[in-house]
Amino acid sequence: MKISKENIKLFIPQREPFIMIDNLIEVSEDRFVTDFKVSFDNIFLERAVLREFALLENIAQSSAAGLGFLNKDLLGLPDGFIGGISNLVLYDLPRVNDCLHTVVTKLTQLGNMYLLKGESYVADKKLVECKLKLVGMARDSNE
Amino acid sequence: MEELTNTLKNQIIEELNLEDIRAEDIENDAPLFGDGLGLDSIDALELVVIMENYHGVKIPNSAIGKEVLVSINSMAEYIMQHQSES
Repeated sequence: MKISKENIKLFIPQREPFIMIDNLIEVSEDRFVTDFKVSFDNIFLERAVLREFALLENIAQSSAAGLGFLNKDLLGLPDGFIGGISNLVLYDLPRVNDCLHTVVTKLTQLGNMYLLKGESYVADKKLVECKLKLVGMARDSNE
Repeated sequence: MEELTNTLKNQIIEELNLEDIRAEDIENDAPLFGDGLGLDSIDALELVVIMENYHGVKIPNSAIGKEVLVSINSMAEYIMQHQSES
């Protein structure tokens, strides 16, 4: 585990009740993995099912956590915004007490802009996938 | 060169889902961003992916990106130059 739930706020700009990840489990230069248990008091629940935009928020926050971890030596609070979402495919929605497992793969980077692929699973079942354009703090790693 | 520029136009249309634009609508020297094709700066990411995945040419940093991702011609010239080097 790279970042536990207790410390995740140091690496992402979101705050309760909008935090949609628990732990940052794995981080490498091109791949981030998080988990997230859907609790009964999640604000995006509807009839015990987590709404689709919460899944997108989960992928975005997983991306932010990974990038925040990789850039943790930069000064200032973590910050950024979603520039676009494409190739979105929604297969299913999670329910209360499901544990999401989200994998973000970095497809490319240009300066502080990232093109990422996000996929979320419950057990081995894929719930959603999309491409995410994210703008945030970063070094231009290839400069 | 003409084949490469046409290929690039079709790849940009497909990757960026530019449904109302045809390859023949894009001028080789027209700016890709702003008043030309109308892409925004974040769309540059898709252009980088096209350069890497379809043509095997990397854009090593954002400074090079600003020089290369200007027009269809500048992209094609960079591809031809760097493919011949490899």
